[in-house]
Amino acid sequence: MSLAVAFGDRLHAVAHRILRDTHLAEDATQHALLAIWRDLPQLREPARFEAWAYRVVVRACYAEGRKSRAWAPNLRLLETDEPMASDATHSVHDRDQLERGFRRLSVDHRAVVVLHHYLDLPLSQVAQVLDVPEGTVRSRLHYAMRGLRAALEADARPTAQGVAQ
Amino acid sequence: MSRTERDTTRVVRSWLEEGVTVLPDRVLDAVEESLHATPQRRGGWLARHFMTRGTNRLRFGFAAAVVAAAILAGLSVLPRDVGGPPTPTATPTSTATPTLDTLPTGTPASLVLGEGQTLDAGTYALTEGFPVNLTFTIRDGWETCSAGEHEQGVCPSGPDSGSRGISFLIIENVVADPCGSDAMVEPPVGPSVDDLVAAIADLEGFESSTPVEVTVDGYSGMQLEVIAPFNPGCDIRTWATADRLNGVSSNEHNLLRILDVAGTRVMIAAAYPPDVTADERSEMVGIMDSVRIDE
Repeated sequence: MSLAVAFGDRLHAVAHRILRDTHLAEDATQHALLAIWRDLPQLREPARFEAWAYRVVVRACYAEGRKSRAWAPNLRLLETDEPMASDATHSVHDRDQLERGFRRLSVDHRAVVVLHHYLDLPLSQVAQVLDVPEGTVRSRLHYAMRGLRAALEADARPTAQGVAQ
Repeated sequence: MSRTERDTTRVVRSWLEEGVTVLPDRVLDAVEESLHATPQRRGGWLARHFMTRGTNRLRFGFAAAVVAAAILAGLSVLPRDVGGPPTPTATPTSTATPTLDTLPTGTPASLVLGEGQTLDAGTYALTEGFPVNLTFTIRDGWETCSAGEHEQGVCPSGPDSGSRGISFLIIENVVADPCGSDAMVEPPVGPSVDDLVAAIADLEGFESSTPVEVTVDGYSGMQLEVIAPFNPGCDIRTWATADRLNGVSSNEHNLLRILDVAGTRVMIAAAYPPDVTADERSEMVGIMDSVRIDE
């Protein structure tokens, strides 16, 4: 059971980073684990398990996103169970701006960022997980990272008050 | 200060490393409880080897099946920490499904409200809370996806699903600005099919096809397809039932059939992403075509 728990952790970490909401991520992970149980007999080649499982959890994230599409406009930062990164350039402002910028992305774009930059999947494999062409993945990643960079730079621009001083 | 692409990537990667990495036990417990009501589909090698009965055995069976697949996939599932490059894998293949017209007929089952209940292939009737008696037919591979009595529907389930769904809705109004607040248009959209078609076609930032006449089981209406704007930098709101304001994803497509059923305006919506396959879209249109209405 501990091995299954460990894989549940991995799926949950992905869901949590895509959805940026603890409760939605837990629901998505629960649905994904049940879907994996339910559909496992359809998986004829065990070598495909990992990509398939990530696909299941990403689609569970789509479903959770669909359920909550009357989005609340207010944002709240995620709970964490790990110490924050010690990178000095990773300031509180950066994290706040990234959180806001990331939440403005669609689930499609969030998934590409998480699969590539969190799980370190190469783009070709992200394309396989998401069942979209690699060019689509590249496009989504480019757009998402441009949006996140813009969010970070918006924070870095001096305010009018700061300029006046 | 301008950031380089590498700076942004480094900050994003560092930011993603923060956050939850452990699945709470309560979720695993909930999964365990739900396994009773979650039959596996079609026996395969894993099911033949690991499918069990009884709570503890189900839990063990689930763990064993997942672990077996993971081990055979060469996947390291310990330790609990996430990270590191996973083993490269391929995409699962899809399984063939019957065409809608080959499905058995009979008394339609009532569609249970809620989310995530797996549905067998067959014909389903919306629950009594919907003001029109409406049935539709699906293949295997769908599950309930209803947000309320006035917004019932089905979504694909399983490994080959996506951000797709078929909904049957009673729409009250549309938003004034899809990228703005939750405010609805004032005065509210009128009661006719044409009123709603015009309001939806006018949603700011959306692309819309030219509405065309459509007939569904003898009831006339209009069909149009609308495409949400691509990443407008906001949550995209659209239309509302009496209970809920709907939103859509960036660049999401919605094929809409809006009907007048003896004075009740019914909207049938097929939502799908821009990269939907021809087969997926065809199946969704097939479900829309299967709709039968009895006042």
